[in-house]
Amino acid sequence: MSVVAYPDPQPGRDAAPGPLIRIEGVNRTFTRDGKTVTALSDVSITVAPGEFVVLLGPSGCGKSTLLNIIAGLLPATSGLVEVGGQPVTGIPQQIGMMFQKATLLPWRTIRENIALPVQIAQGRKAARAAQARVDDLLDLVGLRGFGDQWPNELSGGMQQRAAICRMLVTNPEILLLDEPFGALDEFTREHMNMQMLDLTHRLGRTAVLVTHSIAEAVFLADRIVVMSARPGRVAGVVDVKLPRGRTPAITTSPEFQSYVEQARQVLQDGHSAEMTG
Amino acid sequence: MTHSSDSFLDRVPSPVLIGGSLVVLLAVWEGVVRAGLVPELVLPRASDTAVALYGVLANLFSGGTVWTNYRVTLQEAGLGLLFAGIIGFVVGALIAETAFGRRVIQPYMVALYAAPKVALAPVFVAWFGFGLMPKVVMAVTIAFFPVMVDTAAGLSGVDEDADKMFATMRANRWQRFFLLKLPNALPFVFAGLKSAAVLSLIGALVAEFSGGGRGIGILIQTASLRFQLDTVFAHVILLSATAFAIYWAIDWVERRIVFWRKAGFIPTEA
Ligand SMILES: Nc1ncnc2c1ncn2[C@@H]1O[C@H](COP(=O)(O)OP(=O)(O)O)[C@@H](O)[C@H]1O
Ligand SMILES: [Mg+2]
Repeated sequence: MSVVAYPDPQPGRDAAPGPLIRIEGVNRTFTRDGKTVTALSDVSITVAPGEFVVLLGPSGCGKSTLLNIIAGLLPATSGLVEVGGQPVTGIPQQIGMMFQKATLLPWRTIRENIALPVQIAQGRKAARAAQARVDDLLDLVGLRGFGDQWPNELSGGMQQRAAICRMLVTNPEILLLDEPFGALDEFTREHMNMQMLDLTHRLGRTAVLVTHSIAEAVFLADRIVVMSARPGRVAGVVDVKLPRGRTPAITTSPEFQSYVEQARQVLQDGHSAEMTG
Repeated sequence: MTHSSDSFLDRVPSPVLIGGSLVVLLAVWEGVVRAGLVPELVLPRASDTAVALYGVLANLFSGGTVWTNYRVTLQEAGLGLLFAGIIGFVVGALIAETAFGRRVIQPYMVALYAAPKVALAPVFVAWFGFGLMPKVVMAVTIAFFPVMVDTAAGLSGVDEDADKMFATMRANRWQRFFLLKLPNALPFVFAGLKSAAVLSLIGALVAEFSGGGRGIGILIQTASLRFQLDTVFAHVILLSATAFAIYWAIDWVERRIVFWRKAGFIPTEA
């Protein structure tokens, strides 16, 4: 597998080792048909450079809302949101994002899809010039030789790999992943999770991933932010001190199981607080 | 009989079925008129209609009166389709993409959509005379609606996640339009054009009925005043075949431009 050489995305970052993402006292409400829903209530999180943080919680607890706020896709109703020390006003330059759907454009080849962010940022010529990088990325995710295929000729898992390449092609420092493999079967999903973890660590990226699977959260995370619903809030944090370079074999270890237990406990406490409060 | 879902008809090849049913239909038609169940003044015989159709086609291909009039109708409908396509696309795009289109143009379009537009044919004749103009205007008036509605639907119906993806790539408005919305809308635009092709021909005919001049509509009118219903039928068959050919031609172009549709995958459609 060829190694993709990336410049350090943020040269000065070792000199000023602050949090890369800082969320403080963030609230977000939605008003629909005159009714107001509190999607996020007083949420505070920080993410350090190189960290893999997982947002875990039942559906509707505001995970996607929080991720969208970090991505600058959605403004917070109140509170502080900073990426790279700057308040988030538009879409921060440092982010790359992935969703449950691959959202590849069916009228573009895989190669053209992956180069799309380059084309948008720097034009057609730059996109053509980026083809060597596209090839490296295809190698990196095991899609060598599929560049000239059309998206609908690829399986769901392969489409998500192409989406990974598209996310990485502009070399973003922060990866925001909203249940990226949620639509895949369990085997493919496990494999993709391992690949994603390996990639993120090898390239030294920072990741925030959303899931509602406890085991997946423990497998991936350096830190799990457990959230609960109505209103969406942080119920607790679980630091996962398992060594890096994890493989699925680790899931049967007693440490792994104890982290799963811890996370489950925090989820339950959050849930009962919701019932009584 | 075995299973209801596996009926006899499902196992007969399509050409055989269509050809067979057509023969039966024509035989019944012929028989009913011959037996005197329906007066020939009301319904001409199938055989007479066939003869009339042969005459019409022979005249058409030898460059006779049918050809001179057919050419006029074809020109009206063709220009009608062209302008309906352009105007429908532009107005549809304005409605989908701009506040002005959505808030100001759209209400008028809804009102115009509800109006019985064929009733305007005499008005257009009064405004534009007896030449090509009133026919083309009539054709455009009724044919641009499906293009407009389908274009607007296609442009607005972009997958929410794809739209978010473009946002994270910091795409500007034009990039979003040309790289995402427009390709996404193309199958819809073509669907609108196919409806417009048929409507444009109808519009041209209606205007010919009330506006005189030349065209197949005039031939139909003349024949029907002389109670030559077999000739009327022959012209209707000719026009149906024409509409079908145009429809098919647009479909042919679509399959080449919207190539990804073949695999049946389009992000906006469930
Ligand atoms: N655009 C929106 N309009 C109204 N309500 C919304 C909107 N987006 C999210 N919500 C509400 O906010 C809450 C959190 O949603 P979301 O962040 O999607 O949860 P999760 O991703 O954890 O499943 C839900 O109750 C949802 O109904
Ligand atoms: Mg979600």
